[in-house]
This record gives sequence, structure tokens and C-alpha cells, in this order.
Amino acid sequence: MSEFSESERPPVFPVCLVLDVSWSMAGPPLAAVNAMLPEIKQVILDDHATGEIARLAMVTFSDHAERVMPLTDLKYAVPPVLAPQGGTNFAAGLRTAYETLREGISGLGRGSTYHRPVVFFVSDGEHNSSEDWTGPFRDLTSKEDKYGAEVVSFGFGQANRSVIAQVSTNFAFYANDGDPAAAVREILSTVVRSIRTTSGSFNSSGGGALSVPVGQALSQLPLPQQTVN
Amino acid sequence: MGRLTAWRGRRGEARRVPEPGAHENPVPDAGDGAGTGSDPARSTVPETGAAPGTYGLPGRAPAEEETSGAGRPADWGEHYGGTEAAGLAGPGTTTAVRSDLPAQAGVHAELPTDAPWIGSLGIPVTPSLTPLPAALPGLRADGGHLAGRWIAAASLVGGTHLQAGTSAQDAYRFTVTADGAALVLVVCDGLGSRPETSQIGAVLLAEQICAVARELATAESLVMAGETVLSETLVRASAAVTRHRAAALPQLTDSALSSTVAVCVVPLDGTPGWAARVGDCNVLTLAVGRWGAVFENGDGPVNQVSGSLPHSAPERLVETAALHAERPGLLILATDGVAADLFNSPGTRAWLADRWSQPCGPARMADSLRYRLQGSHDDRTALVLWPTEEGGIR
Repeated sequence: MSEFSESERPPVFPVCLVLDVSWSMAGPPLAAVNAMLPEIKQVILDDHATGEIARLAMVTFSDHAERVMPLTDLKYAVPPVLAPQGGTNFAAGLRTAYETLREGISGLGRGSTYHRPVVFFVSDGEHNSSEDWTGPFRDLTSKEDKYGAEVVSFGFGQANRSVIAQVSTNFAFYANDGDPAAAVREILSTVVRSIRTTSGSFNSSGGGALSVPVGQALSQLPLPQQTVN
Repeated sequence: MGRLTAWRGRRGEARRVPEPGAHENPVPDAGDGAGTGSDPARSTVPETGAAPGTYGLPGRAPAEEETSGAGRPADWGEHYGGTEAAGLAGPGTTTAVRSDLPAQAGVHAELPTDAPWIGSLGIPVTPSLTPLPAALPGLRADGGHLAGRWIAAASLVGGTHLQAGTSAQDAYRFTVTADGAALVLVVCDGLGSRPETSQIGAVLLAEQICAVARELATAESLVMAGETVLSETLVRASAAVTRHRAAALPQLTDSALSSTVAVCVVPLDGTPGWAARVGDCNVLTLAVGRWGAVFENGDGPVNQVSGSLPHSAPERLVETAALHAERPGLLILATDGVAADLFNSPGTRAWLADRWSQPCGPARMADSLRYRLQGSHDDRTALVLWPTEEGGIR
């Protein structure tokens, strides 16, 4: 099969937003999410280098996970309106994120050009399912898997800082603001900045290093391997 | 800000004003995202082989200023030397920029081009220049004879660099071996993770490869072991860059000078040559309308560095290949900014095949890289060798 595509196949930067929608997110936090999703869409589209390549998927999780938006060109995306429900199952969210990315990227077609996917994981609580989330996390982040993703995690509210740090490959953050709605806004603003700066870095040889520019409202958490000794 | 689902006709054609939402000349899958299905609002270019003047589709209305200005059709801008950034108000409207307007933010004059717009394009930013003393010029181009063969090359800074105000990072070089037996052609691409220094590495590496190959690649050595000669050339050039860095730039590390490379040695007696690369630069061929790639395009995510020089064990990174002699045609060395576009965009292939259908001068060569393609904002560098009338490079 020819390596030369017979149809236009612009490069794609797959991004998956994995959001906790358990009951603890009810009220101002989820209202802030719903208010910001249209803004996220517009900000990404307004940046030509980002809007041309970024494709966004959204997964929510509580007791179970739901793919609320498949990997989508934001020009045609209608941001979902999220509602709270159930407990907190990280495993379901991570597993569904992997499935969403795998199906989305493979759906681009053979030979399509894409950058290493990035998952932005946001939670305000602790994993309270009996299901072990570390297996789905390993599947999601495997470097041997061509769909393997980087995971950037964000915690706030009642989230366990240590666990949030474990649900990441290189970057984990905790929102300092005690106001959960403000924390959500800061986290999602950081997600957008990261998508933009990372997209910009793709357009150079060997570029594409994930970057997460954060302000003072977020504290970077030490990764597990850095705290062993 | 609106977005451009863009099309431009070739100069001299009437540009039509489509109805909102209209799309003419339906085209194959635009490939703009999984799970989105077909996109009726999306326009892109026809497949390779389209008739002249059909690169792309109408998606934005030309304004009446299009034929005003300095007594010629005003041109819609490009991200390189673009002219239209400031004036776009939204879907279905445009404000073409007159070339006689004074320069100000987002408004500057530029030469027209026939280069296509392909895909769903964002509105380009106003270019920003870099104050970096070691920066490379954003536009370099050559075209002419070397040892009786016609070579043209061009390098254009990418849109991302223009947005960020950072330096171009690509380099190209060509030379003739000391015994006059072969051409040496090189393109290098500095790694983006080192925005202030990798262009130095790209230039140094290209120079060192030429210097080493001039002496190492002789008619005799090439006949005996052409691929080995190329591999050894890259190994020695890598070491030379390291030595130069230690002597002249001791404040830098080798990784600060990292770049990818593709090199070809092409005997002037018309026999096939050899190619080598480290990283994602590539060598392509175009003969009788058919494109070929000397090295595989690879699978999986594209932002994983497969190799760069200088390196402590460069021999482990070098890929080599013998060029083939089935058909006379063009030999093209390309950094990934052009190679990826050629692999993924039939519209780009059609455009460049047309532009390179005859030997180019430097201005035409530079203009050939002024196409706009969705998601393509990297530096673009291509070095093209044309065959002789007798066949020459194959």
C-alpha cells in the first residue's frame, strides 16, 4: 500500500478531557465546567495552529464512564452539558479514555498523521470503586502502544494529592483555591494553555514535547518516582 | 475570529463567490477528525491529477478590492508574508489587503502567488521576527547549475516560528566531491525543543556533511560501498559537530545542537546514487507523475524523535538506501515539514509536481513552498535535483 495518502489527511493532535462528574461535583464546580466548555472550543479555534490540528474527546466518570464526545474537530463540536451522578471510579474513566482515543485515532484511517495523545484528567474526589484503576492507567499510557497517551492530572476539593500524582505520566497539579468553581476555571484554563503550547511545539522537527504552563493557582505535585527516596 | 475553509484559484482565473455553505467540486474524505463523519461544510482539494486551476475549492468570497489596489489583482495573503490577517470579519466575508497600504499590524504588501490553500484553515497571525543574533533568515532559496546538473532549493520559516517570533531551524547545502565524481545534497532540521540553538546545529551539520563527503566520497569508494560511505560520512560529521561545539561553543551541549538530516550522494556519470538519513527528514522521487519515498514514513505518533545528530553512537541511528534507476525523474530531499505534507496531501503533491515540472529558479522554488495546508506550520525545506536530458538522476 502506498504511503502517499489519496485523500487530504491533515495531522491531528488527539486530546481527551476526562472529567469527574460524581455527586461531589454538583453545583458550582460542574456549572463552571459547563460554562467553560464553549469558551474552550472558541479559544482553541481562534488559534490557527491549534485549531487546525486539535481534536477533542470528552469522557465523564462517576460509578461508570461515558463518552460524551468522541474525538471531534471542534468546529463541528457541540459542547455537552454535564450533570452529576454517582460515585468515583477512576478505572472506568481511564478505560473509556483509552477506548475513545484508540477508536478515534484508528478512525482517522491508515497512514494518518497524529501526535501522541494527551489526556487531561480532572477529579475532586477519591477513587471509591473496588475496581483497581492502575491496570487501565497502564494500558492508557503504554509507550509500546501506538495509541498510548500522556496523562496530565488535576485535583481539587477532596482529591487525594498522592493519588492524583499517580494518575499522571509527567505532570500533576492541585488547585490551591478553596473555591471549587474557581479551581475548575483555573484547571480548564490551564488545559487550554497546554493544548495551545503543545500544538505549537509540534510544528518543528522532533518537537511536540508536552508543556503545561501553569499559574500560581495550581501547585505541581511531585511524581511518585520522585518521592520514593 | 472566523476560520477559512479556503480555496484560491490560480492567478488569472475568475474567483467565484460561493453561496454560504455551498461547496463545489466535491472531493474525497477530508480526514479532519475521527468520528465526525463527512463534513458538508468542509472543502479541500481534488485528487492528484486535477486540471490546472482546480487546486482547492471556493469557501470564502473574494472582495471587490481583489481587483483594486496597485493596478493588479490583489492577492490573498499567506502565512509567509501574509496579507489578510487583519481584515477578516467572519464567514462569507473578506477584506483583501491592498498592496499600496502602509505597513502596520497585520497589513503588509506581498507578492501574489498561485500556491493553493488546502483544507480548513485558521486565520494566520501577523508574522513576528526574532531578535536572536544567531537566527537564520526566514527565506532562503537557490536555483542553478552545479557540475552540469540543475539544482533548486528553498527553505521557508514555518508559521509557528512566525507566530512565536523564533528562528527558522532548517538548513540545506550542496557540493561536489573533491574528485568531481558526485553531487552531495543535504537537508537538516534543527530540533524544535532547542529553539535558540538547534538552527546552529542544523547549519553546522549540513556544512560538516558536505566537508566530509567531499573527501570521503570518491568515484572509487562509491562504487565499492556507496551506502557505507554515506553512513561513515554521517558518523564523521557528527563527531566534527561535537568537536566544533566543544571548541567554539563550550557553553552548549551536544543536545542543544540536535538536528535531523537527509543526505544523498549522486554520481555524475548517471548511475544511481545513495541516500542516508537520521530522524524524519526524507528523500523522495517523482518520475512520470509517480511519487516515491526512499525511506518509510513510519507509523504511530509523529512527535517521537527517532534520532538526531550529533550523537555518541550515530552509526546506530543512520538509515541508508540505494537509489533506484527505473525511471528518470526528480530527486527531492525534504525536511519533515515538506515530507509530511507530501505524504498526507494529494493537493500538495499535485501543486509541487506542477511547480517542479521544469527546473526552477530561486524565486519560483521559494514560491512553490508558499502553499497553505491545514495543520502544516513547520519550516519547509526542499532541495530538488532535476534529471539530465539523457536521464541523469533516476
